[in-house]
Amino acid sequence: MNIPDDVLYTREHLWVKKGDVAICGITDYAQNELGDVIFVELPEVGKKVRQGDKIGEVESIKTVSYLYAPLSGEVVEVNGELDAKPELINQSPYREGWICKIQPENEEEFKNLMNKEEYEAFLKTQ
Amino acid sequence: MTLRELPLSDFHRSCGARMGMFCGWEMPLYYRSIREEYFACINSCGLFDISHLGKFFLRGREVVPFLDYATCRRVSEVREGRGKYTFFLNWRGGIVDGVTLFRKSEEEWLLISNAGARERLLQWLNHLIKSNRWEVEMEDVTEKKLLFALQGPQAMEVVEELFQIPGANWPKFSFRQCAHGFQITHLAFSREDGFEIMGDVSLSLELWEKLVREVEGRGGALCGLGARDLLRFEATFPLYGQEIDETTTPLELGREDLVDWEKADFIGKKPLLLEKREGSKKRLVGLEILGRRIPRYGYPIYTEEGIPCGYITSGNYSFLWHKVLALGFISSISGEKGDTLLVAAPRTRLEARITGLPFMKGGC
Repeated sequence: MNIPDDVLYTREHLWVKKGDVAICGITDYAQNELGDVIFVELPEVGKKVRQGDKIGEVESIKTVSYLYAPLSGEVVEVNGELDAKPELINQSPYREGWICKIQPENEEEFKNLMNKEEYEAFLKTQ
Repeated sequence: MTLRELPLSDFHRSCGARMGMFCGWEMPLYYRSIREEYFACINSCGLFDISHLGKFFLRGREVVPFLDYATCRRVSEVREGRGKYTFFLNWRGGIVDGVTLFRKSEEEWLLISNAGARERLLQWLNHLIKSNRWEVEMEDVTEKKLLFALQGPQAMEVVEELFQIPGANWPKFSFRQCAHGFQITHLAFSREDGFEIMGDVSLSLELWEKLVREVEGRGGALCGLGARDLLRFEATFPLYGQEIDETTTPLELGREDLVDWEKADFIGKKPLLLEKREGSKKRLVGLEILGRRIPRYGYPIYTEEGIPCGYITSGNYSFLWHKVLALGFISSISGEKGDTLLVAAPRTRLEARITGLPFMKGGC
C-alpha cells in the first residue's frame, strides 16, 4: 500500500498536500477499499467549506462513500478530468486522481491531520 | 446466520482477495479489481471459487416423477449426462429457487442451487418428499464438494489441457466424469463460454493451484463475486434474493419459456395459469440510467408523473457498454420500451429509460 510521507491524512482517508493551496484526494487505502470508482461528485468551485463538512461523493461498483473536507476554506479548483475518467482515482490516487484544491483559512487545522506514521498506526485500527 | 468459510479461504486471502459477506459466506469479492477481472473473462479466462453454491444429490426410484412435479419444466426428458435450468415454485407460483439439475443416472440427480436459497430449498423439498411419501432421498453435499468456474473464451482450452480431454466442445448443460471424480460441466453464469468443475473438497488446493497456473499462463485472472455478478447481470440471469424470491413468478420474470404448460400438473401450475389469463401484477424491465450513479437493490421507481410503480432489483456499471444499467420490477401498466422512468436514489432522482431484455439482445 502506498502511503507517501509528503502529505497529511484525515481519519476519513483523505490526503492533503500543503502548499499555496491545499491539494486533496483519497488515499490508496481508501481507493482499494472502494474498488472500481465509476463516478465522483465533486464539490463546487467557490464553495466555502468547514473542516469535516460533506463535500462530495465517490460511487464505486460496490458502494457509495462520502468525501469530508479535510480543512476549512474555499474550494478553488476541482479535478474536472474525473468526470470522464473516474478510474484515475484507482490508478493514481495521489497524482492524476486528485480531487480538489482548497484555500485554507486556518493554518491551525493542519494540526488535526495525521502524518505518515500516525496514519499507518490509524490504519491498523481499521 | 453462521458465517461460512470456503475451504480455500486462507489461500484466497493470501492471493490478495478482498473478502466480503455474501449469503452468509465469506467470499472473495475481487483480487485486484472488478474491471480487470471482468475483462479477463471477456478476453481470455477467469477462475472463480463458487463452492458456496448449494449442492444436493437426489436419489431414489421416484426422483424423475418427483422433479417433474416439483419444478415447472419437463425434467423427465433430460438425458443422462445432461442438465437443465429450472424453477422450484411454491403453491402460489412464487419461485423458491432457480436451480440447475443434472441427471447422473435414472435414479441419481445433482442439484445446484443459489447460495442464499440453500436452507429454504432444503426445507421445502424435505417437506414435499415427506408429505407425499415420495421415494426420494436427499443429501446436502454443499460443504463436502468444491465447485470452481472457468469463464471466458479460453476456458475450453484450460479444461482440455488440464484434464486431457481433447474437444471439450460438448453441448451446453452437458457434463463428463473425469479422473479423481471430477465432474466437468459445460456451462457459464455469463454470456461467455465456460465450465464448472465439481469435486471432493480434499482436492481443492491441488486443483485450484493447477487451474491458476493454466489461467494465468493465458493472461487470465482469479476472479471474485464482483466480476461474476456483473457478467451475470449483463447476460440478464436472475439472482436469488434480487430478481428471484418467493413472491415472484416465472411469468413476472418474463420467463414463460421455462414453464411447460403441457405437463399434466406441477406445483404452482394453477396460479400461473390464472396469472397468464388475468395478467401479471409486475414485470421485470431493464433500465438504462442517465449519468453514472448506480441504483441499488430496493430503490423505488416512479413514473415521470411521480407515481410509485416499482423497485430496483440490481444495478451495475457495464464496462462493455460504458453505461449504468439496472433491472427492476414495475407494475404492468407503467411503461414500454423507450419510456422514461425515475429512480429515487438518496438525495437525488435518476432518469431511466426502459430497455429491451435481455440486455445482450435488447436496447444496448
